[in-house]
Amino acid sequence: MGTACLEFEHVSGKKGKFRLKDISFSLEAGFIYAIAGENGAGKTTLMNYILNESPLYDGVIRFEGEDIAGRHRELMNAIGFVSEDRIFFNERSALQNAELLGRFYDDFDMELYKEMLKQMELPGSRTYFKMSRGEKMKMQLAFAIAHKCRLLLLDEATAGLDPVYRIEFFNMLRHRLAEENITVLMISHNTNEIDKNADYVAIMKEGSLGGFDENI
Amino acid sequence: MRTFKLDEKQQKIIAEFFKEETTYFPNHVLMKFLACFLVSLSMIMLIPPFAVWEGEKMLSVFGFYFFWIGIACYGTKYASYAEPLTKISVRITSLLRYVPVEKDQLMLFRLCKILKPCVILTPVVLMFRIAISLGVFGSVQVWDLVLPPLFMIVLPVVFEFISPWGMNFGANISTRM
Repeated sequence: MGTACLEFEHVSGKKGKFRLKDISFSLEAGFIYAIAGENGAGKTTLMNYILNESPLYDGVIRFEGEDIAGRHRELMNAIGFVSEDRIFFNERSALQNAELLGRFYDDFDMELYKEMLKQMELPGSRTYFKMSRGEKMKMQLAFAIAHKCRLLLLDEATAGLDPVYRIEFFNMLRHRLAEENITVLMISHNTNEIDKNADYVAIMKEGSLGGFDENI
Repeated sequence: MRTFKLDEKQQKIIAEFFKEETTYFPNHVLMKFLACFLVSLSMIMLIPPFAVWEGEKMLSVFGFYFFWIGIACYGTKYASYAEPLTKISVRITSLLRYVPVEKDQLMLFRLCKILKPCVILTPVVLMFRIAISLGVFGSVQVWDLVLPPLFMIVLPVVFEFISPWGMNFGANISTRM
């Protein structure tokens, strides 16, 4: 068995009255993992533990076998994050955003980004502000793939999207998974969407996470 | 204890980013104008030694205050931006939260930027104060030597850590010490 892509070992934390309780799991590369749960169950908090520069938890989180603490720059190079909370320049186009922000990545492939936008039928000249929610999510997915992420985090990325966008989004994702060894961790409260798209599913409830089971 | 170390590679990328990023241009121009105006005004108040302001010492205090506000305005473009149409102010740290750059490096970059005018202007103020004090009054007060470096270098750096104008790294540091 190879090294796990992402590993949580007895991770717990507290944010106000909310408490994340002793979470342990391990994700193998190349699959789509989903965490389902109601709003306020702790799904986004768990994702923030991976993304935050300051470790606000107890326990250990490992990415490709190494503790993530103190490796923010390295980690952000390897992790793609697609979320409504992610900020881009509103009044800049998809291409200008990539030119400005892509420079921070060690291996940002502008040609691949343009190719992804083309495949998604998203004009590179459209400003982020004028994009629909679905287009923003697609642009973020293209951005994440263009910096050659190895772990893709989707935070309610397809919530509220119409079925056509949703199907296109996951088709694109499956296509990339088939080509590259990307691991996807998505969180959603839409169990229908998870049933259709995830390989493994875990349920989060009141800060506790059950184990990942194969989605049959 | 957390230590700060300049990462040259990241500093270079941050410098390129700010060089090309001009979305916040209208704010930038206004802030630059305010910075120049306030720093110039503060220089008029700070160059004369304390003995000149006998009975009006508050003017000298205002001089330091204007200087700090001017420097804060100058540094704003490295801390936040607002786009012309939406006009919502966004912190640079929020924009770059999920990209491979460390908050420490952003803070050090901004610190270097705001320290530059401080380090240039403090000796100028000191030089004028000493020259005027010796020329007009024949002696130099200790405050004329101590307060300019304190208020023009040390305090701007401290305020950079704790002020809402700055990047507010104070809270971040306290959780990681």
